[in-house]
Amino acid sequence: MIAKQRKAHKLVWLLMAVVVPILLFFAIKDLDFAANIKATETTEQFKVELVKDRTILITLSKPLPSSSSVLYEIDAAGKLGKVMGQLQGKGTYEFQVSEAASGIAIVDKIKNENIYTTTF
Amino acid sequence: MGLDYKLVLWNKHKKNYDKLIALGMVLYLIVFFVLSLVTNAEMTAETIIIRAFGSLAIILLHLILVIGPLTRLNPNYLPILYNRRHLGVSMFLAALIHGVFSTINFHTLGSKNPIESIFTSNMDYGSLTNFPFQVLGFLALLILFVMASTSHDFFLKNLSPKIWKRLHMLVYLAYSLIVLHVFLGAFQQETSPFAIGVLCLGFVLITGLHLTAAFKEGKIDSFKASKDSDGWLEVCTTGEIEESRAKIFTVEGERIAVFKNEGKLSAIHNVCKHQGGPLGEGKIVDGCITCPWHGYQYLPHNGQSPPPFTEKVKTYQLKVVNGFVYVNPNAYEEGTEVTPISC
Amino acid sequence: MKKNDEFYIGYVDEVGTETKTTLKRFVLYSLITLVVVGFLFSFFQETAVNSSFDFNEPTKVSGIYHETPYPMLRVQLADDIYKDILLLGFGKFGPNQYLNAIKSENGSLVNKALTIEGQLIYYNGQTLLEIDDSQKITLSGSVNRNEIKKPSSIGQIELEGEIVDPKCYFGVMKPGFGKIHRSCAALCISGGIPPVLVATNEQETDDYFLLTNLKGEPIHQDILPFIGQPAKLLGELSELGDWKVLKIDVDRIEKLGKASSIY
Repeated sequence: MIAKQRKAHKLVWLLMAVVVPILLFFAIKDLDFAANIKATETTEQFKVELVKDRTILITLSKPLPSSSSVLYEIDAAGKLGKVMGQLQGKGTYEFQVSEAASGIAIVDKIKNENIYTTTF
Repeated sequence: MGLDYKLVLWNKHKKNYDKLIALGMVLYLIVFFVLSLVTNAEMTAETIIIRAFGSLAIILLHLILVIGPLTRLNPNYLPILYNRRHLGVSMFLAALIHGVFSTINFHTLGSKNPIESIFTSNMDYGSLTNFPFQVLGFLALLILFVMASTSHDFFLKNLSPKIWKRLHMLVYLAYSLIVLHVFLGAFQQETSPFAIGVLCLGFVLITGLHLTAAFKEGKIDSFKASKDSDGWLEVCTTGEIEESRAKIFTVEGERIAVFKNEGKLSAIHNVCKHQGGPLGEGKIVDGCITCPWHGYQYLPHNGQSPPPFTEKVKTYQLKVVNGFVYVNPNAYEEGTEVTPISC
Repeated sequence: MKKNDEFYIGYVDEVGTETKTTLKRFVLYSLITLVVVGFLFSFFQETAVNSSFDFNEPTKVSGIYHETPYPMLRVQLADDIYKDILLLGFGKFGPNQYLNAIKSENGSLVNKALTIEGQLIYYNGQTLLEIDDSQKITLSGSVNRNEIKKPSSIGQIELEGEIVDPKCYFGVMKPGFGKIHRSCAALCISGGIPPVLVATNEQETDDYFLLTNLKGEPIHQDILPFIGQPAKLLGELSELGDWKVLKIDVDRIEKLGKASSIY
């Protein structure tokens, strides 16, 4: 390299050493770094509890990956029975099941897929 | 060497060099893809591709940028410099995949031309954290494209080494743009302290090495020789120069290499005609001064490349008085014969 | 050979021992760096959500068409159980180009039964349908007996959240929000996809609000400067099936200039 190029290199890096860190500092100074620390998913994503008085609690701590989620009772013959309601986003849902029910099922009625079945 | 376009001349070292580049890139991509798929199963393929190739290009750019100053600080690194442009082209290809996938993903199938969309979909040019970071990446990719497409010696010759070097110094601008592209883009959303830390560390490393090398070189440039009554400059004693090697002196702003070949001294301009490599850091091999950067050769007594090559550098007149070497600061025309002097 | 007398020439096979050692070390460190950095960059990514886009898997969906003011299909899932599916177009466009083709032949579609074959997009209880061809929309002719009424106002509400384009947010892209995705969201919304505000409520779950102007008409271009960043919105809330609708004055949207809570 010739002397001019060496000088140009030196100037460029001196300039970068000053300007770039200032820009980078202001770019990240308000970021919330703690938010990124990976939360270990210990909670169950999907929980069905049968509490007293034939009440069912369904907890979705993660959304169901379905285009619709209709909750059915499963009758004594093991077939889909009465419609109990619909599940939507994350949250806790409470339903009453009838005496005759032997379980519950979640069905995606748009895509006609059975998502989940459980018997008591 | 002529101006006609020659394909890459392959040799053993070049092949190994390229194999290692491929190995490194494949290794990185495997680590990135496997870990992303295992730890983040819901991620879409496009996102993984965009991130894997973007981050790969940045890491390769860091590698490229440390090579230059490393060779200034320790000549043992010179072999890595030899084919640095292969690393550059590989890095450009990774960056191109990142850029093309991002543009397709975010800017196609819409009501605007994708390139227009890059510049106009986010108009917060006045803000730093909301700045349209994709514009920075796009400009950096343009620079890398120009560099990769002119990386062959054909363009080096046609553009002249001076303009070529100036063009390729744009890599520093590209690096700055890319770092900002990441800090104002990905890091605004993906705030992993590790990822941010890696790039901060990278910046400190690269800037530190470049400045260290620059200050070391600055010392050579500030060398002041004393003049004798004829205006000749006293540079060193004859014993200070090793056989087949040279010492470099700065004479009126220009670097001169004083070589010792078979006990005789010759002086030529220090700058190689190919890419401006430091001839004085080269060695005399088979009677020819050999440039440490890419092995271009010159005869010590006339500064000409041995036939069939046609490169020529300036030569200088020397004299030895009482064991001290003196240089006439007025250079001869390029390729002028000067009889080597005994010491 | 003296120390320091090694000299590497690219086209000569021989390499000095010290140079070799330096090169081997450099290659080793470079490969280690690549693996370590590959690990750090890939392992510490934000976890993608389980949203879905049924790309290349079309589904036929039948329901009653309505506009609130954005085109939707109300699908009956069971007695008294409905799902309101937001309609979208191909690429970064709204559904109107396809619907207009049907409207030009049949007049208003509101309260009429349609069957549409398209690609479903769904996440967290919300479902959307991408239409890519007006040929895939069929009008069954029957008019809905229980006319779908315009939603009535619940009251004024102030919300903090991020305005997203629902197509990407609910499944097409991951992440389909935030700074990285912002220009794509702007392109989607300017192409006719309805703007949606994602706001986190007290139960730490997300609520979704379709945004309209104060007259309840669609907004697209005017809202572009506020997309993909935390903002505070004041508006009149109404609810229609699965979607909430917020009538807002775009000029009163406040940019918050801080990290979004939906990350």
